[in-house]
Amino acid sequence: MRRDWDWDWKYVAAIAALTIVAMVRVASTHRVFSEVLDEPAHLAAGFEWLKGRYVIDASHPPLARILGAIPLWLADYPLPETREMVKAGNELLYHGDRYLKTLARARMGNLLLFAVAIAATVEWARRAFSTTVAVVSAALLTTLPPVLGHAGFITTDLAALAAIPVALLALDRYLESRTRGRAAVLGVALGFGLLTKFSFLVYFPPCALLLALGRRRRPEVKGIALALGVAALLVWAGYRFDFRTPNAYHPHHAAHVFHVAAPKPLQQFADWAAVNLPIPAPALAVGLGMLQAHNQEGHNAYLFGEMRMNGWWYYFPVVFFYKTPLPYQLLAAWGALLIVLSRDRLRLAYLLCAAAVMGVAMTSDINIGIRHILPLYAPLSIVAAYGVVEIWKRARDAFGRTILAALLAWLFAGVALDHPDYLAWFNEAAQPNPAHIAVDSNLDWGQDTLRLEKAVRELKIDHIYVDVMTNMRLDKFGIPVEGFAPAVKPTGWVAVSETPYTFHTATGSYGWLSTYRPVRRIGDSIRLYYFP
Amino acid sequence: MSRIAYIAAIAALTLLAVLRAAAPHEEYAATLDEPIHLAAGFEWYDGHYTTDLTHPPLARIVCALPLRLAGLPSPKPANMVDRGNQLLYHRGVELYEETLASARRGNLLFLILGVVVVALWARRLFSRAVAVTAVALYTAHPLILGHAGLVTTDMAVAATLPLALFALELFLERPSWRRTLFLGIAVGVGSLSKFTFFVYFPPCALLLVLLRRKLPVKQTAAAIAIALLVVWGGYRFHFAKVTDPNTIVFAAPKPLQPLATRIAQLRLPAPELIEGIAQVKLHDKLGHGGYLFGREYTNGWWPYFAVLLFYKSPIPWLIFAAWGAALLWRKPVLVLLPVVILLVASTSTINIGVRHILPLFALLSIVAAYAVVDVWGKARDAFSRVAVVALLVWLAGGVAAAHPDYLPWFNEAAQPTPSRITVDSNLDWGQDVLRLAKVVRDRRIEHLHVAFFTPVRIGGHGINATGLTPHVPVQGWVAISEHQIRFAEDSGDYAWLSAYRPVQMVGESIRLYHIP
Repeated sequence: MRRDWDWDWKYVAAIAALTIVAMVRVASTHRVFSEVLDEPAHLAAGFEWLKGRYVIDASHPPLARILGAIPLWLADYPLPETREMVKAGNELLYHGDRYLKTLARARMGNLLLFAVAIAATVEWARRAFSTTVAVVSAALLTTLPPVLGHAGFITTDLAALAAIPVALLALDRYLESRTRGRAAVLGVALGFGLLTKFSFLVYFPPCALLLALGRRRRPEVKGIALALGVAALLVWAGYRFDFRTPNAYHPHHAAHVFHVAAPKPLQQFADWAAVNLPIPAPALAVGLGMLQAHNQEGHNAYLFGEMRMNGWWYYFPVVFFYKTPLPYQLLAAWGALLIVLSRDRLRLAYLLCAAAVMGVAMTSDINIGIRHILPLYAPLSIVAAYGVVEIWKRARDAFGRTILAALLAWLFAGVALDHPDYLAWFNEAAQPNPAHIAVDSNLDWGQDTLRLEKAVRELKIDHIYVDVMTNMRLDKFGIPVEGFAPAVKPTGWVAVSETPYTFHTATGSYGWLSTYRPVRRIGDSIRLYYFP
Repeated sequence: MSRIAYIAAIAALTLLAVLRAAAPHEEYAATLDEPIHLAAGFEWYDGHYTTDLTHPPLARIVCALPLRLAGLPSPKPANMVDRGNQLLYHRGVELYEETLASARRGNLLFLILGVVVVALWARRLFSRAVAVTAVALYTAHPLILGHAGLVTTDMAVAATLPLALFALELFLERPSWRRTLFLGIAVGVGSLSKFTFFVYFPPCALLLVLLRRKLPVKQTAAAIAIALLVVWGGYRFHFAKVTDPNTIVFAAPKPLQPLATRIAQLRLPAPELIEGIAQVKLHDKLGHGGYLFGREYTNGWWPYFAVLLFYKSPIPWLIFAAWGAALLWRKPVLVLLPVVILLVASTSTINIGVRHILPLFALLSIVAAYAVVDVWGKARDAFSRVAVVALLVWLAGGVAAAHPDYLPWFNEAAQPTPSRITVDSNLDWGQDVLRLAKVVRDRRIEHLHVAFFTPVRIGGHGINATGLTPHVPVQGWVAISEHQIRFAEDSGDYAWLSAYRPVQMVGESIRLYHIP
């Protein structure tokens, strides 16, 4: 491969080919996995937006949700009667007994964002590295199991991954030439980012600062004002130009959220504002308040056999280590080393962007999955790709190149062999029991419930006790399920998924269950037992 | 590298290897064959050699010597395992580990011999750096460390076969009388180590002769004569008839059976050797229960040793060996010899452990070391050198992390359930029974249902056990070894246990269950 490509079409063709392969890999999982825990809520919210309002759940911005719901809206699905988000989502999914078809269609929306993420990453890579590095970065990004896994669901995490390179690419172009046109494009990119996931608000600023320092260019006030204006307008449009008081948007709930989320000295003002101050996109403010309140409360989290509400500062580095292919990490480390040694400020900015995302994430009290740090994979893939290309170029003997080829083979084959289970993928260091390290959306997000349904049919099970983390309606498939108290051993068939298993083992309720070995493993996340 | 630094490095590596191999001496229970070897070696000092003729006496004599010197009396007549146990338990059960350890120390001599051969051969062909690296790689191999720590014959032949081949290389290069003497002694010592020497050495020797394209007849005859004399000496210059002529007759190929019948009537030098070879030949004819990837068989399976070479060697060690083989394709002697050993082994019907191909590791260590030094020397960029260092760290760290469990060691590709690949002496040779006794004490287990092979008198070690009856579920504590579980897969003897999860793994080979 040459450093610079003579023909742009070769570059485009390579990126297109990699994107298509990645999309096919992701799309092939659409009908394998049941809805994951958050999908019904996202679908209901996106569908509601298309029907003219956005109140069912403001805890996420609407863009990815809308994309997921469009196929249903086009197919003229009715608006769910219930206002409870999971039930509403399930009403859509089970409408007309086309569960799998509906689910697969809705999941298609995220593929668009996946393509955007790839395109933005390679274009951003090209601005500081060679075209070859850009192509390799696409190959690496589209091989990562967390990326492939989350690209296959109706969630906002993949959108967040797309937003960071899009915004940084636009910022870099603006810093290079501070024209009004580029400032406006930056505004569009920022608006796009804000509409993907709220984590954009905490990840983008440090990355933007690092990139500006790397470029040694200061943005102009006018340009930034224009960009922010465009972004604000776009975000407002994303919230359907809603303008009212938060309390009018969501009576009682908004006021409560504002009160809880505001710092103590501002609580009186927050109480007043929630009721009296009309604002554009109140759903955004309520959503941010909900996120802040959630972060203050914390979330039941699990790491290495321990449970905590407020997480661990090292949670994300740990899950990053175990959920990222080891050869990728080695190549990224090598690329990082070369960048540090080269003292190239711009390239260093790419590396530090990845570090900044990790650093910010480490302050979070919501430790529920690697999906919250997906955006770091965009800059890190560029750094790793730089490592790959430099090793190949500098190698004077066959050994170095052979080792590189072996690392790449390990990376590509190691992930491909686990197709389609990208979501639950853990690297070799986590084996044989990844559930001991982390569960939740890292391993068990309810994705294997459809497989459980198949196993129940295959084994002709006429009754089953379940303790599975899922929102899927097994009763809709004619499976007679029943819950059970974890501390009491039932008799007959029992299905337990890894998240409740580890949680209840940590609390001691499942002490009795550790004596038994499952009859079968359903996917990577469900244990099926039989107790005569 | 200076001569002093070279010798110091070899000495330090040897010392480290000896310490590592000796680490499980008091931790491991006697493995299945150890009491027999000990009884046979002890008997040799009494002036005769009748116990289990399927092995020649050298390693047994060496290991029994400390017990002999300690003044232990000869065992009373009994079966051979019991006679070995009479020796091991003679000073009381509380000194069992110490007695066993003193016998096991004998085998360390063969580890040192193996190191010396590797160093000499590598130095002769390449640089001192290659020699030191070869020793480092040889002594980092878990199979070498594992088998050097037991009273068995595998480490002996692992050292003496390369010794004999090295002697032959020197002899073919310049057949002086000194080298002839060295070759004769080396072949004699090899023949006294293990009978696999007789199947590996001839084709390997033929290969060396073909590559050198010369064979001085006179000196060769002299070397053979010296070797025969050494072997006869190893059998105490015994001259008599074989005790069981039928064995020799049955073991002989059909056309040669009349001749075998006549020979069996004659008085012969070292009749135990002939009878022993015949017994091994019969064993090979009958086959031995083997297990590979869930398949049970009795007449061998050709991929067995190649598969085990892969799973029982550290992956970085294999990478260097493969790289070295590619680099040395123009001077392939060190590459072809292990291939010959592997090919010969693949025809065997006795698939009971990778230990039967232990001699090839000395040769491959030199090949791998050549790769390490060559890559390091030729590397123009940091990546290649970092890769070499990373592979060496992986190798050293990956093996050291399992210390002292070198015997049941499998590489990362075999995890998390090596027993699905194979069992027997590769994983479960009865070595963890003393650990089980400790667990029984720690958990205050009053009664235990057991299913494992061991020569240990478990009652004496505080294990109150009942044998586990196949197909009969029980309640309470159950200890079952990997070998038993895998070999009962087809019959389903212990299938009911698959519904339960072990409370603990004792060592690498025994599962401890508590059935509610």
